[in-house]
Amino acid sequence: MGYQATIKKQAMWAIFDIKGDVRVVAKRIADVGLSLPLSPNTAHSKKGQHLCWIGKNHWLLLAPVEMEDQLLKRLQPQNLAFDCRIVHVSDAYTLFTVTGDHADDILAIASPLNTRQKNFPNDGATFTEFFGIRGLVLRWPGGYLTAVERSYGDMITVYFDKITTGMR
Amino acid sequence: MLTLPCPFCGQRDETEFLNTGPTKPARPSSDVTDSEWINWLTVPVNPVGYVEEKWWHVKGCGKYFTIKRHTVTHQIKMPDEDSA
Repeated sequence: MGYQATIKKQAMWAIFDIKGDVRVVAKRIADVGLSLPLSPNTAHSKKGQHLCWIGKNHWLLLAPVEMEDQLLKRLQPQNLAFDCRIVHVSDAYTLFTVTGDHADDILAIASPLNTRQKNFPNDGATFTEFFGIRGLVLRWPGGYLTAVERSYGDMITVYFDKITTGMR
Repeated sequence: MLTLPCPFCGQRDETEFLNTGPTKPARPSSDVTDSEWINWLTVPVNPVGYVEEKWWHVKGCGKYFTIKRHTVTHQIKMPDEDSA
């Protein structure tokens, strides 16, 4: 049986890893136009940008690559402030979207994450186990956006192929 | 399969975590005997009952935390809960 799902490897995204004191981080990202999420493992999204709260003092900002230059100017990752570090990590991740009627089934194969609404709401965004490695899972219209460390990109592509084609 | 209570993420599958060993008593002073030192260094605590363990949410938020796990039933409690 085939799965009714579309899996697309995404082109480059602008991604920034943000760590630091919550008040300082809020000030540093004020120009971006996104407020910090209020609940752990959720994201605030606006105009294609997604600010994910992924750890106690840790956030990940994802945005369309067209916004990269603008974000580099606003976030100033070269500013190595002691209480807030922003690292430009666009090259470190490969992203996939999994959408369609069976997106939940595909994710259930890839990850042990409990994606029931109560546990993983519409604004859910979290790092979890993804095909045995660490991966970001984010709610996406009609399914999920996932991100894994780039060196695993080809491996994850093969795993998705195996799931969707029934290949062994 | 265990599920563990990450302080940041909530209940998650054991496969997202790495066990980083039992919580040890304080390091003994330097005048202990060799056997006492070896006992502290290498002999794991393995009672029939609750043992305090450190876990790392390595595939999640990256937090280290301590839990009490029952070595027979795998029931899990937080360290400040009564282990009776």
